[in-house]
Amino acid sequence: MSNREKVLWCTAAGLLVFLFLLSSTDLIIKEKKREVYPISVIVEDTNDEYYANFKKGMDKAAEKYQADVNFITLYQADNEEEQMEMMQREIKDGARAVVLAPVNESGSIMRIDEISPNCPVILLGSTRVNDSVAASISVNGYETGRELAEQAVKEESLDNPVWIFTEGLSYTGNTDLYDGVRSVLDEMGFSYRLVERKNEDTYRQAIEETVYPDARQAAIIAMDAKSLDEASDIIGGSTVYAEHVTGLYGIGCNTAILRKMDRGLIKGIMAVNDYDEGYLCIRTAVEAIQGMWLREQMFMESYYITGEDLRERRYEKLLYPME
Amino acid sequence: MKGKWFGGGAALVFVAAAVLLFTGIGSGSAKEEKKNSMRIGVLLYRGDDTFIGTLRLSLEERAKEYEKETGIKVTLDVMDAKGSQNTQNNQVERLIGLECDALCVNMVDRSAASGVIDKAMAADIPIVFFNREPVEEDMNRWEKLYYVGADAKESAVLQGQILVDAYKKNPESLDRNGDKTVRYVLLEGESSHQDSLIRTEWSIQTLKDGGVPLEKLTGGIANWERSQASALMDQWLKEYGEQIELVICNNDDMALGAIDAIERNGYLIQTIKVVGIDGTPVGQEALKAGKLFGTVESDRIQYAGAIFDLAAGLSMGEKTDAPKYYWSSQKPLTNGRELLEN
Repeated sequence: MSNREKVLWCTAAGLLVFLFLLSSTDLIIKEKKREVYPISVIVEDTNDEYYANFKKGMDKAAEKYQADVNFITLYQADNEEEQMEMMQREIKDGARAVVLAPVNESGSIMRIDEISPNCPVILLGSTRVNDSVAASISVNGYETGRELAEQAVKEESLDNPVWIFTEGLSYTGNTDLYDGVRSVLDEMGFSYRLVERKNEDTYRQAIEETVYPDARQAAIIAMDAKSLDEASDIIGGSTVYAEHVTGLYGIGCNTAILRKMDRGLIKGIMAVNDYDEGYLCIRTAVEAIQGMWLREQMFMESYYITGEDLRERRYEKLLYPME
Repeated sequence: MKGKWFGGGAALVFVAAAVLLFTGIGSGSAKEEKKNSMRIGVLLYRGDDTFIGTLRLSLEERAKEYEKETGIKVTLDVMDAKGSQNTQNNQVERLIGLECDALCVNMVDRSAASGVIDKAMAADIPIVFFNREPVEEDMNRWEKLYYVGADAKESAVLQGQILVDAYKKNPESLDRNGDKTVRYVLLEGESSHQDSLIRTEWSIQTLKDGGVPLEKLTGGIANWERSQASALMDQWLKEYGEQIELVICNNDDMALGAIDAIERNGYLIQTIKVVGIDGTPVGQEALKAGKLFGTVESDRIQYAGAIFDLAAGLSMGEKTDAPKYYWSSQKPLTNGRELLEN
C-alpha cells in the first residue's frame, strides 16, 4: 500500500469519527438548551377539588412559558406548619419560584420573611407584598363580600336573619370578605350571625336550628367554596331544610357547586375566573424568575352568577374553560 | 507492513474508545446513589369518569402516605387525555421529556399501546398500565410492563350472584308481575373495552346458571357514561314501560343514569331493580338510599396501592418479582335492608 493510500485511509477514518462526533454528540455543535423553570404551587387543601379550572390555566401557562409545575397539596388541610415545611422542601429541591396559597396570611408572611427564600414567592389569595413576596394575586375581598351581600339582600326579607358560614376568619382573606358582607347587612338593617366551622356537625347544627326547637327561616351566605359545598349538601339532603332556608349564597365554585346551582339549591355565587388566575400565577412566577422583581398586587375580577346565568355565553368560558 | 497496519488499527481503536468515553456510551449506570425523590407520570383516559376519578384520588393519597413513610419525595404528574389517544401520545412524550421515573397509563385505546411502549422503551421508563388492558402481544414486548386491573369475569359473576341470591330468596323481588320471567334491559360500556364484553357475558351466564328465567327486552352501549345511559333508558321506558323489571349495567355510572331516567319518568325506583359494578362513592350512596339494588366494589385502596407501589418500586430501581398482571380484589354490595324485607 502506497503512502498516498495510507493517508487516504486515515483521512477517511478521521472523517468518519468527525462525522460521528458532529451528528451524535454535542462536542462540536452545542445544542441550544431550552431553559425549563421548575415552579412549585403549594395550596392549602388536601386535594385539587376546588382547583380544577385553576390547574387548567396553570398547565396552559406552563406549556407556553416552559415551566415544570409541581402542584402540591397538603397531608392535612389548612395545616400552616406543614405548608411551610413543604415550601422549604421545594426551595431546597430546586424550585425557582413558589406560588403559595397561604393558610394564614400573616403567619405565612412572617415565616417567609424568616426563611428568606432565595427564589420569588407569589402569594395566592393574599393582598400583601414585601421584600420576600414578589407578587400577590387575589380578589378584592371586601368588595366581593359587599357585592354578594347586596345581591342576597335583594332576594331576602328583613324578617329573616342571615347566617354567615365560614371555615374560619383566621384563614387568608376571610376577614375582608366578612367585613364586606356585614357592612351591607348593617346598612340594610339585617340581623346576622357568624358561624365558624369547628367540626363536621357545625353547619348541620346551625341549619337544624331553623327547624327545631323553634321553626323559623334564615338565609345563608357561605364565605368559601368548601362551606358552600357542605351547606348545599345538607340542605339538599332534606326537603324540610329547604323549606326553612330561604336562600343559599356563596363564594367560589367547582363542578359540584355549579350542578347544585343548576338544581336550584344555591341561589347565587361570586365566582372568579380560576383559569385566568392559574395562568397568571405561572406567568408571574416565570417573569419573577427572569428577573422582573414585581412587588405587585394583582386583583382578579369577581362576578355574581345565578342559576339562570349558567348557560349564558359570557359565563361559559369562565365556568367551563376548555384546555 | 503488517505491524504498521496493526499500529493503525490500534490508533483507530484508541480514537473509538476516546469517542465512547467522551460521549458516555457504555459508561454504565451513574445513578447508583440512593434516590430521595421520584417523579411518576399518571395518564388518564378521561378524568371525568367517576371510577377513574376515585382511583386517581386514591393514588394521590397513597403517594402522600408513601412520602410520609419513607421520606422520599413523590411528584405525581396527572394528565387527562379527555378520551383522545392523540392527546395521550403527546402527554406521554411530555412526561418522558420531564424525565419521569415511571409511567402509570390508563390507555384511551387499548389497541394503541404499542406506540406508548415504543417511546417508554426508548427512554427506559417502565410502565404500569391500569384499568384498560393492552393486548397480550404488547404486554410481552418488554419486561418492564405491568398491568393492574379488576378481573372482569369475577365482577360479572359477583353481579350475577347478587341477583341470583335475591331471586332465590324471593322470586318477586326481580319478577315483579310473577309471570316466571325476569325481563331485563342491558347497558354496556365501550365496545372496544375488554371488560364490557366479559362483564355482559358472565353476568348473564351466572343468572342463567343460577336458574333465573330471563328475557332480554333490549340493550345498548352507553360508553360507561351516566348521561348516555340516562338517554337510552328514557327511550326504553317509553317503548317497554312497565315490562322492564331489571336493568343490568356494566358500571355504576350507567346504573345511576338509568336511575335518573326511572325517576324522571315517574316510576317508583324500587319497582325496577338496577345493578351496577365498581362500587364508586356515588354508587354506594345510591345503594344506601335504596335506589341501586346492588353493585360490586372494587377495592380502590388496594387497586391504587398496587399501581403506586409497583411504579414506586420501579422508579427507585428496585428489583421486583411482581407478576406482570395484578388483579385487585372485589366484593358484592347489596342493599341489605331491601333483601331483608323481601
